Amino acid sequence: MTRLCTILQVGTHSTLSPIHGGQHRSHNIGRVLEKAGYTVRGIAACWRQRHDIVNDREAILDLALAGSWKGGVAGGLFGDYFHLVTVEESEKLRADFFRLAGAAQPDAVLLEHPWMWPLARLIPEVAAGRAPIIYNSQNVEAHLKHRLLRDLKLDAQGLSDAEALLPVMDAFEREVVANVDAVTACTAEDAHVFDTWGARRTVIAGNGSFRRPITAIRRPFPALLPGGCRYAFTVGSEHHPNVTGFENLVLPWLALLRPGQRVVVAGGMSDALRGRVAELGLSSTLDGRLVLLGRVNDLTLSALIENTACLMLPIEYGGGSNIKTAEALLSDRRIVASPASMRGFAAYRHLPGVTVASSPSEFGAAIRSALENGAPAPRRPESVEPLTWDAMLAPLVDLVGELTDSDRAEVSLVPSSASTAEQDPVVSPADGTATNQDDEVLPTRQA
Amino acid sequence: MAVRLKAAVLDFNNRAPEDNNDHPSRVFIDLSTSLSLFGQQATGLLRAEHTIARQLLTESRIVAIPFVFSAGKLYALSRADAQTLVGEYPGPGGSTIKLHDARHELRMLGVAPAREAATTEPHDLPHKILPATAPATAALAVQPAPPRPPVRALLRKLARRAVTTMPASIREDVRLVLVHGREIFRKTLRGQAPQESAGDSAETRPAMVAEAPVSEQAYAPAAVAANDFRDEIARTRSAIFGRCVEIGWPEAGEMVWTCGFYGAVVPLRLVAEARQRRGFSCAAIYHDFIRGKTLEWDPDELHGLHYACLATDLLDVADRILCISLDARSSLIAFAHKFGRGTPDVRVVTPGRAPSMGATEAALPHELTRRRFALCVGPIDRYLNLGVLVRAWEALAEQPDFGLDLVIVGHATDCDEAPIIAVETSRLFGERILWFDECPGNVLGLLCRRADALLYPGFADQGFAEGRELSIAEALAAGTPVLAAKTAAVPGAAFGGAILLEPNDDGAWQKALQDLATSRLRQIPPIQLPTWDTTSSEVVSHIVEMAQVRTA
Repeated sequence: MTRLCTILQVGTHSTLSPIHGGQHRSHNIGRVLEKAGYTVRGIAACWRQRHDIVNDREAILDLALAGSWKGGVAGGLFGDYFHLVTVEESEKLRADFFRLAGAAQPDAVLLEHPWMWPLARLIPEVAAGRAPIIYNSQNVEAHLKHRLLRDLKLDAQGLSDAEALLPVMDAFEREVVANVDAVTACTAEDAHVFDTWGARRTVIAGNGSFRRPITAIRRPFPALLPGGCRYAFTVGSEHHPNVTGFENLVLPWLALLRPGQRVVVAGGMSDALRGRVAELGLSSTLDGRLVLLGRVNDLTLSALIENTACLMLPIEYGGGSNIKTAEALLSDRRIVASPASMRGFAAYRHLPGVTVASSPSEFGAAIRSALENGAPAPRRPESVEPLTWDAMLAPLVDLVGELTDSDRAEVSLVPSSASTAEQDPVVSPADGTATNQDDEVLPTRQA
Repeated sequence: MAVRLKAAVLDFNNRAPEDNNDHPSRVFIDLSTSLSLFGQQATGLLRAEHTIARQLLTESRIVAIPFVFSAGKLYALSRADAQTLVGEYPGPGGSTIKLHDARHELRMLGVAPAREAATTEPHDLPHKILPATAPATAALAVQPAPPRPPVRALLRKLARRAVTTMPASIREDVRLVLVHGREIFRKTLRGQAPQESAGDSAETRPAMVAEAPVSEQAYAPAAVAANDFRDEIARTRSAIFGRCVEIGWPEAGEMVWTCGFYGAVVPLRLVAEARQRRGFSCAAIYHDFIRGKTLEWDPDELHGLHYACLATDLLDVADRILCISLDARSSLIAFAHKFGRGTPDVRVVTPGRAPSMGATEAALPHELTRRRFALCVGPIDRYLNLGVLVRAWEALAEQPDFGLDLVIVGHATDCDEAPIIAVETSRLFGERILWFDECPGNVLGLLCRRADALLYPGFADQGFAEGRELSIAEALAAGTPVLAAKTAAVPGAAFGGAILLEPNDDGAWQKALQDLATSRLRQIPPIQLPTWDTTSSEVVSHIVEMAQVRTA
């Protein structure tokens, strides 16, 4: 039997136990490639977390072992780039990187984010031209960092550092785009940017999601959400666009909620919002209107989505496409979304039960209307079927096939993870939420 | 639960409601604010809650059930404890007036409270379900605050002296540097916690602290008395709460009356939701924590969200809202229409003047005994519009015939630094502009009578709270001229007896003040005004009427 074609994912975050959106995208790419018959290996240069899984599928280059960290510059805005710097400056981590890459003997390298490019290009198979390298982008990093800089209230020194580093990042990403064999982009807009930067080939492979399993739990939080209470719900990590979007589009109209109505927030963004609400002196004022849950497990998240009157997508900027939007569209809940959150999903903005609102008052009016209504969105399931991860990532799988043109296992030889994955909490895009680590299906992408 | 409630009702009325042939309706009287602010001078909202509750507790046409909220639950109070909460409870000196910059000694006018701590009173309710160590009890307990170190006052004095020695060309700059330096010190070096809003509960406020005098050791016993007083207050309050009995929410046909701190002490959202489920009714007052700016609130902006929440809470919870001016009524109704709350039942009751409580000339702070002054009563926030007065004094102070000083009375609100800075950075502050942080009602009445005029340049609605509008009435009743802004409900509160000016017309204010200083304004004939007791009686009539309608 010939050796299976091996794809090496190289990135700056782990992928086997995904928490945030970037991890979910990488996780699902690995999953669909395995489903397509490839062997997938991974090297993640990051700080190892308690929930991380390390096995022969993915190795973590734990930055904690490096002993130094320079990524705090400019408020941590360029922290992901400094993952690379840390590995490069640590003899051990650098040696480990090439040892692991050598052991993988990749037929192709998938660069998750651009940051590990200077090392990935030196992998012998890549350097020799035997293994194509694909930059799997999640957004246009340079553009996102420019926008994030406006939200980070940096001091003069931080601002000066940021202004010095932004052109470096811009040039770095352009170099990656121009030198890799292909770029995959989440949206047509991102793809257009990469085309103008001289990408040899650009393929759009957007973000998707899964249909969440039905929990049949009627009242997920009886203590926090009184009986009969209707709520609008959002979940997100502490990523700046999540927090500022909520602050700008949701907080201002909370005064208008009626008794028995709440806005509920889960995920890392609720911790950031708690601090912000206290800063504004609104903690007690918003008591009884705003419920900040913090991180919740996946079952709770499913129950919260299942019971909500409305899913809110208040993100105002950011690159790529919003995984939570795909998740929301795949649910039968009403959706109130900002224009930015529909980036990459323009074809779905006129579906029944989807309202796109750009100002706080419009956003609030749409949500209050959904809270009054309370009925599920009248969307046909087949209308959103193309939003599953498998469908969205199919162009990427095809691209890998074209570039490698190698043997791969028959799909039938590898137990399909697609059907089980839809029931598997770990593969759900619960961005910003913890997954159930006790579940033994979690460590694997395949059964 | 029913047994406990019945026991509580028996205690208050000495009869079971089912034994009463008339079936008077039960009215749950919220005294959360009284418990939370127990021991503080009963001015503004607290006075309203006290006065109205005192009448309701003895009202024979209803079954009065005094209670407090804690952690979203209702706890019934015994009659004795309720009366303690709403009774007169003078501070260590009974009435204390304190200059804002602490340069001046405290004026201790009375003796320590004669009332014994309530811990000695017998428990008159059969069950006590909340242990004294419960978090709610702990939250309600006063945390004794350490006396402020005299060094702070000394530093202020030195800073001010340093400023006066500077050349005139850089004096203002130096003053501003010092003011901002102080803010940086407060916020950065001391890691001062973020300020909560004006509606914060008393738990988050510093306890009433009698500031130690700077130089006169003779006043040291006063500080000791103040500490003893705080301890006694804490003990009494904890004891009262420890004797409370948890009760259920009212049922259909019953009623809740509240005038508490919306959003902080009284969980109005919970009350509104319970009211929807259980069908009881609720009446409340519209107080001036809900500022006139509420109507200008824009749901696209975060600014003003706090007040908008208070307004919608009030509209959502109350079947009837009582206010003291037509202007307040119309602004609240307009807000309700604008934001989909229908037309609320808002009734106007006649605002009465505050009782003077017979303060004598001896109560006048010595700084004011030989001055002519105009008085402005606040809370010191942007709505008081103090800037127009500060600018007027700075323009007029150099004129030889302008012998008036400006006396400001009121505490600084937590959320507004700008008006504080405007006053403190004035070159006249501490000399021609004096600011008293605390002033009991009787002394305020005395100041109203002694002032050349009462000044009210503010924008705020008329409400039941901080007493500024009641000061207008007090001044008018004493024959003291009133210069007031021609805005919101002020003209109505002035009963046609005030000189009304555009709030931001600096020239008009300066001219009026010049006229005042040169005695071209004479004392006006005193206006006969209703008393605050009359106002309370009107409120009680509304509550009784509602209760009787519900019962019918």
